[in-house]
Amino acid sequence: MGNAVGAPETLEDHLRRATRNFSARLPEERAVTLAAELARELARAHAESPPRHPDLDPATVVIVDGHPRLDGAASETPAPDAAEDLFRLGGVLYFMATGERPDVSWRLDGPPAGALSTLARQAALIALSAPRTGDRFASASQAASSLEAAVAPVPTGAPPWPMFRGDASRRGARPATAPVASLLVAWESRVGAVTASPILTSSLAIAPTADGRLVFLDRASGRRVHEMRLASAVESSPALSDRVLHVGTDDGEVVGVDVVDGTERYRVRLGRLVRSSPLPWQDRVFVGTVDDKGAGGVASLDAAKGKLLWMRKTGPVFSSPALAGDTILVGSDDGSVYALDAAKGTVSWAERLGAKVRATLAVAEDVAIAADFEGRLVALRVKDGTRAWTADLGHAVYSSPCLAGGLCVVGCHEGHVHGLDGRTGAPRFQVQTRGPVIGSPVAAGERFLVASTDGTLYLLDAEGRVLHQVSLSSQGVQSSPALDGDAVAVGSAEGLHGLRLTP
Amino acid sequence: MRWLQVPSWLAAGVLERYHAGASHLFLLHGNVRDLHPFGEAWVPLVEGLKRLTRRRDIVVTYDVSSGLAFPDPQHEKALRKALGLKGLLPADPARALVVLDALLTTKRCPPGSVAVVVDYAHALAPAGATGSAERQNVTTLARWASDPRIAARRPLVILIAPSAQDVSDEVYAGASGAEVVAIPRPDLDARAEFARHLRAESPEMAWELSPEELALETGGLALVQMEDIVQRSRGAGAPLGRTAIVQRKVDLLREEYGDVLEILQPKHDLSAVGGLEHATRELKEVAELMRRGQFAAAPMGIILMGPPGTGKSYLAECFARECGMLCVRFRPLRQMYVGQSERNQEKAFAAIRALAPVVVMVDESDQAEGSSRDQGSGDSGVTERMRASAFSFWGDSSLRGRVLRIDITNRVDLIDAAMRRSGRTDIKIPILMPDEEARRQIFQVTVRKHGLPTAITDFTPFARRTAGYTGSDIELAVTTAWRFALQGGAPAMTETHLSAAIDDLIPTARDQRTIDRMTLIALDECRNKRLLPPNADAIRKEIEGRMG
Repeated sequence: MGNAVGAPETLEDHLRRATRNFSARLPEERAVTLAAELARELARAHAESPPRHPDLDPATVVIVDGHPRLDGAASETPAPDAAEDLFRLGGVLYFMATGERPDVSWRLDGPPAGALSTLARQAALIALSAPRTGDRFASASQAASSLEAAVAPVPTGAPPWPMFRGDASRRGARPATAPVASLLVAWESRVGAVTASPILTSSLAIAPTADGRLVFLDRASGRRVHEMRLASAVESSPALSDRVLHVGTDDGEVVGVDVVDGTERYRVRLGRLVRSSPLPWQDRVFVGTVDDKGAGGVASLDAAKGKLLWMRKTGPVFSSPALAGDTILVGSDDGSVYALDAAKGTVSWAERLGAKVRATLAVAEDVAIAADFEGRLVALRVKDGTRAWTADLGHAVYSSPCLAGGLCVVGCHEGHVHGLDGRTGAPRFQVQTRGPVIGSPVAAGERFLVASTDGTLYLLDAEGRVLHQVSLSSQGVQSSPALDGDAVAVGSAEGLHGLRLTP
Repeated sequence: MRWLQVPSWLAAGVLERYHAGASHLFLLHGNVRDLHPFGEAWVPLVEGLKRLTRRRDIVVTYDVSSGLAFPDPQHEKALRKALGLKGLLPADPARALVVLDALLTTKRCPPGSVAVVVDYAHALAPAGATGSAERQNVTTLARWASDPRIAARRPLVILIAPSAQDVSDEVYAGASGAEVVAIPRPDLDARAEFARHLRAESPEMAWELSPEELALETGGLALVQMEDIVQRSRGAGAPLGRTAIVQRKVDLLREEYGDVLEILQPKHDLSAVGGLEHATRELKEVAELMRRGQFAAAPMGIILMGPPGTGKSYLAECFARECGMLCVRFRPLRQMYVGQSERNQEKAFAAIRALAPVVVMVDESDQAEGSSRDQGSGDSGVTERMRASAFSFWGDSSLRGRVLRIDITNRVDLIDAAMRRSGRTDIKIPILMPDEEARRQIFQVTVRKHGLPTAITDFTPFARRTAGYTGSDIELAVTTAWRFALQGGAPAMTETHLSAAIDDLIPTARDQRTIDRMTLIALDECRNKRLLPPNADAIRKEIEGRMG
C-alpha cells in the first residue's frame, strides 16, 4: 500500500488519493473533520507569541497520520489577521468537500448557498468565510468547536425546549438547580420583529419573524446561521419533532422544515390563518386553524408529509393544543374548551367558559387551567371537563398560564401578572407592568419570567417580588421565553434576545 | 492560497466599507489601467470586478462608448426580466442611466443581487460639467450615492476614472457622496509576486536577474509596464537584463511623469567632482548608508548652499549616481491657474512616493515652491495649502532612506525655516567659490571627466590666474581650449591652448557683494564643523575685510 502510516503528504496529495484524482468527492463528514482539525491547529498557531499565521494552502498543508499539521512556513500572501485565516480555512473546507475551488466572489457575497448538506455545516462554512469580518467566528477555537459539532449529520438527544410552553403539557416550567436572582443579556440579534415564541435545540434558537421568515441563530452567540422565507407573516410558534420543525403561517398553511438541512418537507393549507402552535404527538401533529365567518377547528396531520388525517370543527382556534394522556385540549373563539380524542379527533367533552379562549391550556396531573377574554380562569378536570375551581381576574387573558411550585401564574390585558394557588385558585400576588401582558410566563424552578408589552422582561419570585428586570425593546414584547438550564431566548419587536439566568 | 486573493486596496477601500454598510458607491481612480491580482490571475480592473461580482444575479457594465454590457447573457436576461425591457438596450448616456437607475431602485431584485460598473465615469459626469445632459448625469450619480432607498437595495456600484478630479465633485462630495478609493501603484511585494508569475510564464527566456531583483528595479512602474519590459525582451529574443530594464523604465517614467518631474540619468559619480572635499567625503558616507540599506541612519534631506556656478547641481547628480538611486528633478510647480499647481504638486508627490527609492533634486528651491511667506497673499490660500502639503510630505518619516531630498540654493535664508529644521533637512553643506587649490583640482577633474588628451601636468599656474572663476567658468575654459587644440590640428591640449582659452573667457559677470553675502549666509547656516570648507575662517575674514 502506498498509504504507509506516518508518511507525510500534502493535503492536496491526500485529497487526490482519497478522491482518485478528484474523480470522486471526499465524504463530507471527513472534510468537516479535517476542517475542524485545521481549526484546532490554527487556534494553536494563533495562541503562539507572536501569533503565527500559517499558509492555508492545500498544496502546503501537511497531513501526518491522517491529521493536518500547520507547522509549516508562514503564508506567502500574508494573512494580516486571524479573521483572514478563518476566511481561507472556509475556502479549504469548501475545496475539500466539493472538489471545487473557491473564488474571489466570496469576498463580496460569501460562500455559495447549499454548498454543504446540513445547516450546521453550511453555517460553519458561512461563519468561517463571511465577507464581513464581524460575521465570522470570534476565534479559531470557536470555529473548531462548531465544526466538531457539525461533523455528526444529525444532532442527538431530545431538544431542550422543542415547542411553545416547553412541552406537550404546556405548563411552561423547567426545574432550576439553584434559585435564580438575576438576568444577563447574552446577545441580541436584530432579525426583525418576532411575535411568536422561539424554540431551543442543543445548539440553535429558532423563531419565525413577524414578516414571515424563519431564522436560525447560534444559541450561544446569536449569530445568524440560516434564514428562509416561509410566508407573508407568521405568529404561530414552531414545534420540533425529530428533525422537522412544524409552524403555522398567516397564509393559513402549516409548513414542515427540516432543521438539519434547511429544506422544506411539506406545506399544507388548512384555512385562512394558523396562529396556533402545532403539537407533535407520536407520528402526527395537531394544530388549531382559523377560517372565515367564525369557522375553524383542530387538524391532525401526518408529521412526515403534512397529510391531513382529520379535521374537527370547533370554531376558530388560536390556542395551541395541549396534551393530557391521549386527550388533546384546545380553547376556541366560540367560548368553549374542547377535549378531543388524539387518535380519532372525536369530541370527548366541551365546556363553555363564556368569552374567547385564546390562551393555551396548561395541564397539571388531572386538571387543565383555561382562561378566557373576560378574565375567567378555570381549572377543568381532564376526564370530564367539570370545574375544580374558578377565579375571576377581571380583565381579558390572552397569556397562557404557567404552572410551577404549586402556583399558577398568568398575565392579563390590564398589565397585571397574577399569581394564584394552583390547587384552589386563591390569589397569591399581583404585579403591575406598564402594558398588557400578552406573552406567557415561564418558570425556572420557583422563579417566573414574564415579558410585557411595555418591552420589559421581568423576573419574579414566588411572592410576586420583582427580582430583576431587563428592558428588551421600546416597541414591546409579545413573545414568550424559551428556557434551557440557564439559557433564555425571547422575541421582541427588534428581534431575538439571548439571556442568561444567574443566581 | 491565492484562490481568494483580491488587491489590498479593494479589501480595505471597497469591501470593508461596503460590508460595514458605510457605502455602496465607489469611485476608483489612480492606477486603474493596470493589472490586478484577482484569485490566481492578474487581470484588468473591469475583468477583476466581474469576477468579484460573479454570483450577483445582475451585473451590468457601462461606458459611454460601448454602452450597456453584460458579463454573460444570463445577466442580460435577468435585467430584462426585472425591468420588463424588450428590444434594443439604449446606448446613449441619458437613457442608459435611466435603465441603470431603474435597476438600482426596483424592488423586483432581492437586496444584494445587483452590481453596476461604470467605466470612464469622467466622460459621463465630467468636472465642471455645464451642458444640461452632463448636469443630469452628475445629478443621477450623486443621487445613487445618497439615496437611502438605493442603499437599502445593497447594490455594489463602481465608478472608474483615471483621476477623481476629472469627475464632477458633486458625485463624491460630502458624507453621503461616493467613496473615493485611490488605486496605488503596486508595491515591492506586489511587483515581486507578479515578477515570479512572469518568470513562470516565460520559462524559455533567459533572465539575468531574479524576479525579486526585477521587482527592485521596477519601482514606480505599473504591472502592465513590467509585463511590457519582459515582453519586449522576449520579442527581441534577448535575455532580460538590468540595463535594458533601467533604460525602459526611465523611458516609461518620462512618458508618464514628464510634466511634473524630470527624470535624470547622471553619468558621473562623486569621483568626477573636483575640489569640495568636505562635501564629497560626507556625501560618500551618506551614499554608502543608502547602498547598504541603513535607512534609519539616512538623512531626510540635504541642502547644498552657496553662490551660483559652484557646481552644486552637478555635485547632487554625482551623489545620486553614487547611491545607485533613481534621480529626479522637481519642476517648479507654481502655475497661473489656481488648482493646476496644487494638483501638479500632488501628482509630483504621488510620483515620488511611487518611484522610491529616489533622490529628489529641488533646484533653486527658494523659488520653486512659494517659500517666502509674502507670496502667500492674494492667491486664495493656494500657497498656504501647498506649503502645508509640502511640509507634511517632506516630514513623513516613513520616507526616510527611500526619498532623499536635495535642495540646491544660493539663498538658503529664503527657504522656509520649517523646511530647514532637522527632521526635514539633516545635512547642510556650504558650497563656496573655489580657492586656488580647488580650482587646480577642477582643471584636473574636468580634463579627466571629458577624457581630453593633454600634455599639461601641473595646472597650478592656471589655478592662480583664475581667481574669482567658478567651476563652470573653468569647465568652459577647458572645453574651449580643447576646441582650439582641435582647430590647430594638435593631438593634445597644451598650455598654450588653455592659456588662450582663459584669455578669451570673460568670467560670468557677478557682483562681488552679492557673492559675499551668499557666502556668508551659507557659512552661517552650516551647523557642523565637519561640513565647512577647511578655509572657511579665512574666507569669512576676507569678506569681512572687503565689507570693511
